[in-house]
Amino acid sequence: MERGFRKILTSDCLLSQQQIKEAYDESHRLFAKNPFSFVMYHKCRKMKLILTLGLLITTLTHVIAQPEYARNSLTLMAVDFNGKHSNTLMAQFPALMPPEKFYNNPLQKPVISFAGVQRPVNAELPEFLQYIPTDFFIKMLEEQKVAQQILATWFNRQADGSFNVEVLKQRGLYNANDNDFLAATASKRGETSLMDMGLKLVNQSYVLVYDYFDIMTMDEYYDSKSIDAKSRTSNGYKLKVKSYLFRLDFDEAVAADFFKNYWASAGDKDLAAKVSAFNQATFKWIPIANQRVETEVTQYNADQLAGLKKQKSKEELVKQLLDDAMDKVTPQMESTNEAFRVKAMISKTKPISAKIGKKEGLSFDQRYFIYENQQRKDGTLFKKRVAVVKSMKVADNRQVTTGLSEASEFYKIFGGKVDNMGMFMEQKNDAGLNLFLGYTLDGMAGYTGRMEYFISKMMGGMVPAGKSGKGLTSLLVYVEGAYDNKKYPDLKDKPFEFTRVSLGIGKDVYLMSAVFFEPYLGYGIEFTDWTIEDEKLNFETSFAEMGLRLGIHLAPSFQLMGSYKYNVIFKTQVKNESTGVTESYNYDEFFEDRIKPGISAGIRFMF
Amino acid sequence: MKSGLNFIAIGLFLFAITACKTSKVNKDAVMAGYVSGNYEIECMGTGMDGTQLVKVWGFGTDPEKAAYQARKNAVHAVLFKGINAGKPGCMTRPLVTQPGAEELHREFFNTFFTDGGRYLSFVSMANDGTVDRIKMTSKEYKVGSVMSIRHAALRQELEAAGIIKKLGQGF
Repeated sequence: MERGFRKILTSDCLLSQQQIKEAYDESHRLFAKNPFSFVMYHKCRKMKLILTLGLLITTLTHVIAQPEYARNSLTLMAVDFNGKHSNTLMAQFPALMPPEKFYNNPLQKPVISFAGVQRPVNAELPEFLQYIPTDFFIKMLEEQKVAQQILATWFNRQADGSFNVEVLKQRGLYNANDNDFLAATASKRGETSLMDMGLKLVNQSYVLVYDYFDIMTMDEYYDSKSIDAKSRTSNGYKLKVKSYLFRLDFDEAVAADFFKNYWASAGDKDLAAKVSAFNQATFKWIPIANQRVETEVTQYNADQLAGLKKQKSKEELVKQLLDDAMDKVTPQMESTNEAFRVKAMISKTKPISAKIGKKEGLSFDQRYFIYENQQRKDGTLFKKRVAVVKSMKVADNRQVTTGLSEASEFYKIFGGKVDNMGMFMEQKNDAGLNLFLGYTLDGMAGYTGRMEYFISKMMGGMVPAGKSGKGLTSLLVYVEGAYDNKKYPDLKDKPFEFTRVSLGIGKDVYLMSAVFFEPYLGYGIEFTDWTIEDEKLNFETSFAEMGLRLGIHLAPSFQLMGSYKYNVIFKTQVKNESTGVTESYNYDEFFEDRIKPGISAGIRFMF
Repeated sequence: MKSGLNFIAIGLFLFAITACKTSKVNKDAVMAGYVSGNYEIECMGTGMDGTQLVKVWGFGTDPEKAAYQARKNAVHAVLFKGINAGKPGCMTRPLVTQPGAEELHREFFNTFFTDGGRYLSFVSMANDGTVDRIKMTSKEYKVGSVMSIRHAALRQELEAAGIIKKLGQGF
């Protein structure tokens, strides 16, 4: 655009380079007052040179090869097909807020009723494939003038229909990171250029439309499963939801059209015409992705042992239900839409740090990949993964930067050397679930499977503000099961079948690249039985287990693991099913080898 | 036997000449950022008074060397190339406009651009140290960073050294 600017000036006015520079600086000054439509007067040949610049995108920093991340905005909507309990949900839906990493562009009427309308899906398809066509939603978005409402937020529309740039400036400043800030302060325009960045953000306005269905109370769920009264221990809600993500198209051409035809400042003589034109305008919506989740929020009944005397109200449960659904939809949106994945340059290496934090929705023990840009032989660029890290200190950067933002800190779980000379990180959510499959030798031998969950993800609140929570990272709970089939000829000819289950806690400790160890502690029970003539004896042996697991990352989500396990065996309870008599024995009186320490080996997948 | 020795002597002589020539080429290659001018630079907008705000790229065998070279390139561009790409607000006309001045004052510029040389006084990072980096091959990196060049001070330096004429001279 500046090339065009120069061309206009040089062809019409025959100005010198210095005059061009002055004119351009003047345009910047005017731009600061009213960025999108301004008149620049010039005395060249006594002509009034009117330049409607429309969009000053060129003032934005376009940085080749740097990861681009800017805050997105999200508008939440719901369609109400008047299903069972939808009234209860919809009453609270307007209070639902998008996650903190998004700007919120709220609507006056976020719930759109389709009472009496059949949900437009192909009922012959399986439920998980029954998505409402995007045309249905786009028609709805246009009818509800959702684009107008979003733009009204961005451009701070006043009661008289005029626009101003206050919100745009605030959001542009809030979006800026230290790098943007310092680069801006080195320029003559200073922080004003940061305000311009707000304009870029308008093109990152999204709408998420929820369609809740199969909403049921726990009582209704129990009824549907014919669960007996004794087992009905909880109350609350279950639901399914499909959500549809759309982006408002506000690219350079649309923006230029907006500023030309719809933008009006307070007091403009054509304000009424512009207001009318804006109200009748149609903006383009781009379908981005669909998501589907199921969620439930329950609590034990008050008469249950674990039940709270003061039960949560229906409203509290519904609010939590809506929040839970949002929490589950967000990672799905992030996985399918690159613009939602946070990216940042590595600012420091000891420890690995980046200037992101709560403003970008960073949570404790969240996974990021570190990349390096590389060039192929044909000249095209691609990003190559260098390492995988998780957060251990989350900075609270929820303020406009002054160039001295605190950095969040990360620890490496996989990969090579990381430096802060152009490497960058990108959000790569993980579910925090691991699955181990292997075999245990010696001791309580057998085929072994283990599910692990990183509870550390939920422990961010325990880390004091401004402190590193490394001690709480990669903390996990596990449930392990095993099966063995082994002969003890001294006792009987047929093999005994052993099943074992244990649960406990552990912590992955990363000392060097790709290698970690995991101390763990747990409690479990091993079962077997022995039929002697007509009598069946059930053996139940409880034990405490502790040990050390060693893992080698072969890929970010795949490891070889071995472990050493020491057991403290408690008394074996042997119950005679025929007589009902239970007696205590030592386990080694029957199965001497099973009290020994065990060694296991296998593979672990991380999800 | 004698002709064999002569043959070896001639061979060694040719080898020595070739080695010397190669050495010179390598030296030039090392200085390429400032000798050849084959680098990318773009204006990032109007800098503070007396400065130019640019994004400039450098090449090197590791990212640090490439970033170091980028600094030389930034100063070199203001001296000899001007900044024609990118946003408006930078000087499109170089400080040194006299044809062949770079060669004429070769000794001055060799000293000026030596590693750790005086050129460093006129260039600084204009952000939080963030750089762009592309691994071109296993042994070559391309690093770009936003820099501020004190072109007014640079002009004074060159005027004092007699490389360029003082402003207003000749009027």
